Amino acid sequence: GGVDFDDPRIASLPRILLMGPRRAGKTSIQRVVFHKMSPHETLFRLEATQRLERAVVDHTPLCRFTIWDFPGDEFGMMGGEGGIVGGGMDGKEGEEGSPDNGQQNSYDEIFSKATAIIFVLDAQDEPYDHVLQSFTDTVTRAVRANPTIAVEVFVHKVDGELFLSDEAKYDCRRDVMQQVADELADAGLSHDAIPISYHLTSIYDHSVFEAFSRVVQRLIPELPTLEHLLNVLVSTCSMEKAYLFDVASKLYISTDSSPVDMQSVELCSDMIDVVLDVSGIYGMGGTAASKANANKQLQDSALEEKVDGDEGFGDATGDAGNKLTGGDDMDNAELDSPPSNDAGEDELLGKLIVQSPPSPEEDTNDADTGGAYDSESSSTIHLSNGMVLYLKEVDTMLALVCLTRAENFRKKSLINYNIGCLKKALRALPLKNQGAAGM
Amino acid sequence: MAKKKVLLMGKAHSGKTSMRSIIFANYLARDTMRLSPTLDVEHHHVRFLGDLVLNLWDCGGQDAFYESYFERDRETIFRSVELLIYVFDIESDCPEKDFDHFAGVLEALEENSPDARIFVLVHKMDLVAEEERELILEDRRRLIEESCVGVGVQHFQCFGTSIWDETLYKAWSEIVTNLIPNIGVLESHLADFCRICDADEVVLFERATFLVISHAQAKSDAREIDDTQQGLITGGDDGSVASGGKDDDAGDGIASTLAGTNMEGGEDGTADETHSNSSPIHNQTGERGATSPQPPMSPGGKTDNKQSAKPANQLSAPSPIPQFDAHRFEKISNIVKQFKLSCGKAQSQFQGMDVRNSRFTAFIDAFTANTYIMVIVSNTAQNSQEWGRGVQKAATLLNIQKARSHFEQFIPRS
Ligand SMILES: Nc1nc2c(ncn2[C@@H]2O[C@H](COP(=O)(O)OP(=O)(O)OP(=O)(O)O)[C@@H](O)[C@H]2O)c(=O)[nH]1
Ligand SMILES: Nc1nc2c(ncn2[C@@H]2O[C@H](COP(=O)(O)OP(=O)(O)O)[C@@H](O)[C@H]2O)c(=O)[nH]1
Ligand SMILES: [Mg+2]
Repeated sequence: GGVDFDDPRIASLPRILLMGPRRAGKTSIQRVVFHKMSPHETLFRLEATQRLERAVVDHTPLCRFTIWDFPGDEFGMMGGEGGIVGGGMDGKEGEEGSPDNGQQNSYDEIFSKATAIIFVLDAQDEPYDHVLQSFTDTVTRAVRANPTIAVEVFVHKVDGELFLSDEAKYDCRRDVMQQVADELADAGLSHDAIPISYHLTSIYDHSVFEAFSRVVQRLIPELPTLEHLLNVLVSTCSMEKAYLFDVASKLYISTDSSPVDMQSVELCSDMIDVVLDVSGIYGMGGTAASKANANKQLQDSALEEKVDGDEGFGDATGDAGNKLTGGDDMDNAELDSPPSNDAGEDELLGKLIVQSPPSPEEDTNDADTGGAYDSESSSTIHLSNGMVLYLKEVDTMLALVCLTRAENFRKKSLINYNIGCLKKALRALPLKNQGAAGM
Repeated sequence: MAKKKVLLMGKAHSGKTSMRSIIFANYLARDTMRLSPTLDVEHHHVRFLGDLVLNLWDCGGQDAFYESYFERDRETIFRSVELLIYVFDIESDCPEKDFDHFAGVLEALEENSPDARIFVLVHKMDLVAEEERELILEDRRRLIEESCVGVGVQHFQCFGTSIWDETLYKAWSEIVTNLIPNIGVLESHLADFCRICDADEVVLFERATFLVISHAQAKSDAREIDDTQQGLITGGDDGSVASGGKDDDAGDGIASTLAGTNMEGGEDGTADETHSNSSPIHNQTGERGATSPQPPMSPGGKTDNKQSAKPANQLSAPSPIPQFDAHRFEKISNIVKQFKLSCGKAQSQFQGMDVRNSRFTAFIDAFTANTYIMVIVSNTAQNSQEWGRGVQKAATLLNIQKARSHFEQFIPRS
């Protein structure tokens, strides 16, 4: 089914633009991160993008946005004055005559409404001069149209023979940064005036997920609150680290403020694979009998939620925050605001999200993860180094994954209780990026 | 210690070394792009299940080598072969020559090792569009059969494989289980264990490769057997959870005594029972018992069970065992092996895990010295509540622990 991107609820979502020259890897990145395409499949399953392709990412209430994948051909002309988005919008054949097509957007307009640009550079395609020239032009124009736009550079394809060592990757990033700084200076702009983040990425390892996580985190207005909640959880339960993951994309949308160790993120993200894959095999129902049973289970759990709510939810929403903070004043007044109509809206939200397709693409594998991951999803993994990974559902397609020492994991009921508090606090958060709620 | 000679043959670049490296040397599929071509014959000794040593002869596939395989080294290569794995590249540009070589190999094998088992892998199936795979594989299978019949070979097994999905594990599990002596005994004990645990399914994996070596599934009539006799904790079907301790008369020798049934001491305890508490709960305070309402072990809980059990108790009903994905074992192998490698990258190993949702819990745990075990328990009315699942989990983990030493003697050592 097509998605109406002019629908105000979708149009108001944060927008991430993927730009860069032909074959830089834009579409691959999008497919690998959001459609579970395996990296080697991009070698023979992707064709050059002919026109702008847009997709909605909407798995979990906290993390919603649209991705705009531009054809590489147009990249060179974006910086030029009066550029027009060629080829119309969204490459569905037979839609040529759609009203969408007539109303061609200029790049200025696109930039002015975008939240972030990801510029993808093929690190294996030297020299970069020409490409970085176009990049500088584009950035200059984008920043003029929208001074708050976030500019992210993916120095991409840092894998294979050329990039066996980390040194080689860092060198490459340094070169790119230097060249961009020079270009910007030539254009009369200081590099400091335009904050640009650089990421080393490859679809063949975890780096592209890490980079995209960082990009997405900047879109979430509630980030400071989330970080605060996780800080409290981590210190209350003596955990080493806690992450909130968007289960469908495996991007982490928040973590506590202790330093992030790439290896632990990767392990947590691999754990999500295990949970989804194993649940996809054994936790999807099966025969009619067990389906009936499962339905019963679902009803039961729905009931449980309600009882839960009756007992304590109303006064616990504020309360929950307090418990988590261990008495600290929540510096976030929003949490304490009465959940008056929130509750109803939340319920509605929950329902609608489950039904809304994760993306407008036909061939999504991730559509069925919804059944495997449910309100009772959880997993524990014991490692030989004395650490425990613990994953628990905290919202629709949202998982808390924490890393804790085995000796601090003994009182699991207490950890669960505190996670329950976090869960309530999350539900009580008034969400700002509500755009797609009515999809 | 038994050494089994395994020939790995097929045209150059067909993927032999890739497969071997993924299965036995913990390569990731994408790492195989860097492999250099195999020259002549490479000998590899790989251990399987501790004591079984596979002597892999990875035979370089360039035409020039075949001449020497068939002439000068004929006996050296084809003598006392236990098992032949012949690999066809689905993208081969010259299939006729492949089949010539294949026929030559079969002939030499018949002559020197007539009892060798034969496996043919049609490899790189990922390069064929999914909807055409079955057809193309069928076509190849027919050609292979013709070749076999041509030289009088009756028995062979043929698999479509790819290093990019679980088909690799399917084929290699099948191959290695063929080398394990007395696998039947192991299977029957696993079936007992499955019944006792009230599990839907139990699967045994070899520790290093994560290849499936045996599995058992719940039978519909299995429920009738009185499992209290076993001295193991049952999933709570008959409420015998806390009874335990009937030591040595365990009929078929599985496990003995319970370590005491104080499940509360279990690392897991039970969850979410502390609604009443209003002060912040610190992990370290450890006052759980003090403030929480009466936890699950109470007889009250048991009555509750009985009431809610009847209507939804699919277990005692005749038949409906969930129909799971036919490729689940090799998928699990693939999933867990990938995760094992991730742990390796983080300088650690994984010892055990559980995964659950509203319908099931899977336990995957280090088992005997050379195996991992997976136990699948589906959610029933009894354990639908949080505490019920806590008990179920503790019971299953305890059962796994109890069965460890018992099974040690049934994991074949040759
Ligand atoms: N080595 C390597 N190759 C990659 C990586 N990402 C993408 N590729 C390859 O780059 C090629 C082009 O990828 P696309 O995603 O189609 O590039 P694009 O930027 O969308 O190109 P246009 O649609 O033409 O603008 C494909 O063959 C991918 O397999 C990467 O991280 N490493
Ligand atoms: N697409 C695809 N490529 C494969 C597969 N297995 C191996 N390859 C590739 O085939 C090439 C040759 O493999 P190699 O193991 O060296 O072949 P050998 O000469 O038979 O040992 C490598 O580049 C592998 O990455 C497969 O299942 N699918
Ligand atoms: Mg593209």
